[in-house]
Amino acid sequence: MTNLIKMDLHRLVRSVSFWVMLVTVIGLAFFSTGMTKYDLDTSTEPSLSLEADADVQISLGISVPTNYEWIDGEIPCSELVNINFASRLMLILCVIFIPLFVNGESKHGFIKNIAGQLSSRGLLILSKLIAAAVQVFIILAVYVVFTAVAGRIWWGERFVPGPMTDLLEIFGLHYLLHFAFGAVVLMLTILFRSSALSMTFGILCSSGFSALAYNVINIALHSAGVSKKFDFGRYMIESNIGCVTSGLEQNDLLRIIIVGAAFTAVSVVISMTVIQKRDIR
Amino acid sequence: MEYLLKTNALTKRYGRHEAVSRVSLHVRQGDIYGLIGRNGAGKTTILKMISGLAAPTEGDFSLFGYSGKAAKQVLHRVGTLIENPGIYPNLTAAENLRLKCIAMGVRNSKEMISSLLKIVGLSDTGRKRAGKFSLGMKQRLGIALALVGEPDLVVLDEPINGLDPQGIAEIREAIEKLNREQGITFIISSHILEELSKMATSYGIVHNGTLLQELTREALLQKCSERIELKVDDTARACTVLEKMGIHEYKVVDMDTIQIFERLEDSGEITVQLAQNGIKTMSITVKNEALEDYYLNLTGGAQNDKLD
Repeated sequence: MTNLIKMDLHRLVRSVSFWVMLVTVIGLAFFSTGMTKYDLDTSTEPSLSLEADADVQISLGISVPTNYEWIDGEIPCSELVNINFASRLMLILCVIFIPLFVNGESKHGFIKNIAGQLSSRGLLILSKLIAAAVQVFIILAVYVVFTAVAGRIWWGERFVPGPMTDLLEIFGLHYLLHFAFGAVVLMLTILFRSSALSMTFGILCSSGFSALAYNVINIALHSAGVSKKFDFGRYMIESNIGCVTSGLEQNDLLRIIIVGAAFTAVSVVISMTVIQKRDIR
Repeated sequence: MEYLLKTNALTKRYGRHEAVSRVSLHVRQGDIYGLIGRNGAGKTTILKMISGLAAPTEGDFSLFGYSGKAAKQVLHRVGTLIENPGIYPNLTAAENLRLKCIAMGVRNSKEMISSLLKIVGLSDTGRKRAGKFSLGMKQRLGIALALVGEPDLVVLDEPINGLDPQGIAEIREAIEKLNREQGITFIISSHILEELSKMATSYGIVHNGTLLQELTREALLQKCSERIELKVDDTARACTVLEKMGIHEYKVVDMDTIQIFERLEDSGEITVQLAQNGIKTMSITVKNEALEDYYLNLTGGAQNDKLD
């Protein structure tokens, strides 16, 4: 098991996609922070369109909202990072780079060199999962670091770290949810034997298209007698990513943790079962 | 006899199609076992099952004396090259080998990589990425990957595909050397029979998913041995003449053909004796059946080819 993890991490850092991913994360950190600065510089009060957005149930695409209290006040790093993570900007990167890495072994046939020699093929999934966990951690951590660097450059002293506990809480919850979504995408890559399909699914979910499906499910459930207060989306990963803030109520915190852990566990079990039962091509 | 690998009625079905049907192979320690069969005969499926890459629908196999679930625990001693070589195109040959060394927990990986690259003739590839390799070079790298971790059994599926004659000779020499010096047992599938016949010590002939025959090199050589093929107008009287001449190793093939397996240098005298006894000789030739002919005769050869 340790050998497989070492192999996957070794391959990860030697893959072109890993370095492309890092450059993209750094570029996005500067781009997104720069856009926030532009937004703050060109606005003096909250735009009407943004207020109207608050009433919209489903928003498609990715948008990073701006807190207009930042126009004159301090800009805490933890808050800036949170709105960026909550926008699912980093989730898109996770759903692109995880399938690329996971599917590489099957796509190039390298799996045939090792799969037969393992005591259990399920180990291949666990090592990939750990590599994905490292990938997600690097994506989020690098984004935090370069957002801080960019914030310092754009706003100078007005850019403050914010409470460290807030930053850690936000980072921890986002990490769990991003990783859980990565596990789902990994499972789809294994099931479909294709990175393109799982990537498409991931990108559509990250862009808010899954909310359309959840709405249909809600309507069906409500018409079947389920309480109108029940929202199916609340138990889905990408919806919860948008709910993370610092100082969450215990119920919300618990829900987010359970959703993240449950999706990860189910995805891992399904992936391991499939790879164990299926012949290697 | 103790076998290193013994399969017991190994069967693989894909839906209704039976790709491999009740195949029972017997591979001895130190063998270079040639699995012969046309494309689609079921060779790759058999090799996948004994390499742990595919699960048999029915049947099982024993490996290194272990059978059932215990056999799966010793699969780490089996190196494989199945179908196309599984390599990362953006990595060099050494980097590809390094990945497998890490996965197999090889400690002295630097030395092993350098030794394997030398064995397969890829020492001078340097920083060239495997994706830029020729088909033959990729094939060699695939063989090197199969040898990582010093396996006791190496399964090579069509290993000489894409190699030029010099490359084929080099790989053959490498396999023979590893077999001779390190005692590695090889199972090699191929449809290039003449090449396989140069190194294999045992053969399994597969056709339409079934194992038609297993035989040693000696047995095969005997079956493919030189003979006189005699065509006469009266085989019964010709046999009497041969008996009188002291020739007993012969076989009447059809109404006018007799195959003689001894005194091949006496074809002239046979003709004279037949003529003196009033038997007309239509033709007399010394023939040597190639492995390919033997295989074609066994599998229904030309008739089957027409069905393709």
